[in-house]
Amino acid sequence: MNIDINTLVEQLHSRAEGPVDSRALLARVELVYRRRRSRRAVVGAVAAVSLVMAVAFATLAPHDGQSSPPGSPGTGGPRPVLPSGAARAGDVHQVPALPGIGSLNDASDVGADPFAVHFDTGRFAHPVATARWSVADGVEELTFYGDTEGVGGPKGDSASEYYAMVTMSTASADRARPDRTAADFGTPSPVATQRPSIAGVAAVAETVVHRGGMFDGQQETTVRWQPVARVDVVVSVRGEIEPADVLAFATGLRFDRASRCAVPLRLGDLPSGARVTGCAFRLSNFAAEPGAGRGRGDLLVSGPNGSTLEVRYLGPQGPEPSTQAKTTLANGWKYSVMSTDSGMPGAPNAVIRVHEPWHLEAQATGGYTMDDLLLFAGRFEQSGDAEDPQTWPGSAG
Amino acid sequence: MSFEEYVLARGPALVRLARLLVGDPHRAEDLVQDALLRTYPRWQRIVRSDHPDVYVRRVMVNLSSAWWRRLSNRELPADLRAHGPVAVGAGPEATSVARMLMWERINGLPARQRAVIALRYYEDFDDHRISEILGCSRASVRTHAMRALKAMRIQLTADVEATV
Repeated sequence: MNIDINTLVEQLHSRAEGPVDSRALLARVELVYRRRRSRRAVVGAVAAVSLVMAVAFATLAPHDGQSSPPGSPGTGGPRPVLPSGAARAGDVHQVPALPGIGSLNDASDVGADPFAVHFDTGRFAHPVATARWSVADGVEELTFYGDTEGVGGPKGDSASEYYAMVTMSTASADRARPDRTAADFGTPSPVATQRPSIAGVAAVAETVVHRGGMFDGQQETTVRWQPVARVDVVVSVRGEIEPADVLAFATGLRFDRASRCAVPLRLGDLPSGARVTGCAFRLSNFAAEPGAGRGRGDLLVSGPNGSTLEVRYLGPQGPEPSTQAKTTLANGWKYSVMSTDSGMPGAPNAVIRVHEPWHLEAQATGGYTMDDLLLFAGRFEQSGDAEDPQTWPGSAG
Repeated sequence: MSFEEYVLARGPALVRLARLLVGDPHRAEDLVQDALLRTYPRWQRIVRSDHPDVYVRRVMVNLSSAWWRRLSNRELPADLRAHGPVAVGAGPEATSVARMLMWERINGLPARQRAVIALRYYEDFDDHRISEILGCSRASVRTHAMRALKAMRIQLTADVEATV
């Protein structure tokens, strides 16, 4: 027998109720606000100075070829072997990644292979918690976040947290910008704009402070340039990070080697007219972060007329299926139906969760039905060691 | 209404909602504090819109979503994995266990689904108000609610089902 809705309401009330000292709350808000405001005043003044110094350093310092565009001197040597994800986890300033194959030769490479991200990074100035590498819609992207004071979960005062994004695309620079249309992000107020040179290529470095909206008072530094003709690269870091650190990170990007997007699955035969068009892969540096030492990944398969099939690898273990949910796919994997066609706009037509042998979720949209989804998931095969992303394949075939 | 008056009058309600959004009383106060900090600098504009409650709740839901994305990455909490359907046996002990399991299931919901559950079944808001807070359509609210209830395997009564 299941619990009814009255029990849910009762449970919510029992968990929510309790005394609240609103005067203490107000006092804390006012105190933290004053503290942040004085800190931002200092940061704003320092930002302009440090950006000028960073530009001067980036322009004058000799380059060792690490960020040279393909074809330029310094890229012809043997490619260094990246340490494994586990080894890299020892250096929390490294963006966790899987080594890929190939390098960026020209604009046609960008977004062409959903499993290849055509750049690699150097160290970041602050600890990196979790990174997500993805390829979708012709855009290669890396996002990562961390905390300048270490990583220990969200705090009420989030001033030490930062969010970073690297996008590479062949479309306009606007397309590569973070998607900020879904919420109120206020108005960016320019602090400093400079035009540094990155490996001999002209770039634009801009620091703003957001006014109003979700990021009110937060600083963001963005560096844009084209390492190869018609390839736009945008590095954007939001948080109290020195612009010099952002520019140093941008300068350290390497395009002569790639990173890999991977999922420990082989998809088998896809529906007629369908192909893998997107991949996302996550890895963390810290044990407290989700996926630490293990990876997580998503694959997107696109079919005719915008229909999609998507599978998300959530880890080697998942919740136990209910008694009714021990249905078996063609490959013998146990699954349960999470959602069937709701008829609601924007909702998937079908969602299933695979419980054994691994924890997956798969969903279908557009013209694909539950039958298509079950056929799709029934062809999955394990590939690689679930606990070791280094063994995961760089293709879905 | 000044910012100070608003916090003194509405602060407790915001903290209670936050307890449901983040599942922990200490983090709940952090969430409300963070939301109010982002609201404070533009208070005059917000209060002129006559909807400060909607605005502040929207900030809280968005912040809790960001926290959830960072922490859970759409994974269920480990302690939820050990449990099957929420079963109610006989007697007070079984009921207590069932309530504990239900709270775990609420905690395991993705942030926006959890927000819809809290706003609908605790705040008793209608779908229109919830859609204003979440910044999405009423159909999306219904979808979130449906998925959340399904994930928790709630047996709906006919009345509730009709509203979903």
